[in-house]
Amino acid sequence: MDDLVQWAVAGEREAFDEMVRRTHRDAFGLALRLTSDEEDARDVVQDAYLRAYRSIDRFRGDAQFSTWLYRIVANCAATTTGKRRRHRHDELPDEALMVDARPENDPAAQAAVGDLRQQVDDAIRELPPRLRSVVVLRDVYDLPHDAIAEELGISVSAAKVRLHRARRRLRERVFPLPGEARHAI
Amino acid sequence: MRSDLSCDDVLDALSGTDDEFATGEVMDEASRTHVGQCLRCQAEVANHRRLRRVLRSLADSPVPVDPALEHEILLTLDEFDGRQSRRVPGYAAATLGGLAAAAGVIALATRQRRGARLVG
Repeated sequence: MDDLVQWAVAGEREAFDEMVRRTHRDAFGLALRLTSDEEDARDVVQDAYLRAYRSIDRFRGDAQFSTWLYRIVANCAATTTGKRRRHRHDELPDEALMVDARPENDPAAQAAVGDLRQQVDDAIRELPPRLRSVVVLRDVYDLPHDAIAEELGISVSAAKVRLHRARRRLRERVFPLPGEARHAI
Repeated sequence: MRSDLSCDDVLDALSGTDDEFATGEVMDEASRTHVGQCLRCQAEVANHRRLRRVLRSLADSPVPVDPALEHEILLTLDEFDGRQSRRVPGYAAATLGGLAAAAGVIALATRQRRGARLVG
């Protein structure tokens, strides 16, 4: 991969194409987790690779290519979800908690049909976009706090506050304490 | 005797951004004392560890990807480069290849049947 990156940085289009082939599944996985929408994720990934291609000569190699690409995907996803938020006014505020009476979210039924990974993935999808993005980038893709803040256009302290809230909501959703009702996030 | 910390204090800290604390790896003395004597918080530390482990593992768990996506990305780059793309998507090439192979098998079978009739 390192050689490929060097060739791509030197302007070899074939090398960049090969990097697309090797990395697009992971990039799509991240985009899908950030947007929770397959069509948006496709757009985000295409946009991200175009941006990466246009600026590959500025890639210094002090981070892994995948980390650099993830940051671009995060930035594109933030733009996409921001646009969507401006066009949809029916989104619930972050603090909204509603009792979820759907049988598929009944703890016993969940335990019977879903494994923990699926539950966590579902819980992430149900988080508000602002919380979802920080927990995905930090806890799933291991990006540093300052990189997350920069790509999302927020301060590092705001990113940390959102991360704290996101983790707490995930914990409440996946491992509800006795007496703690299972809530939609 | 429990420390002055409440369970809520510990739960709050577990969700915090100090990653070592959040996984229960490193705690201050007061938290460690509290957790050591509190079954509820011990369970919570275990839950947080599991949650963080699962979150980390999600990066390696594949999501289904439309085979056309790779082709779409490369087309976008072609367009940017101003190239007239003559790409055939990998999945389409595989389908065409399969159809060609099937046609070959049918042609061969037909020819063999004709040959058998002539001999008969």
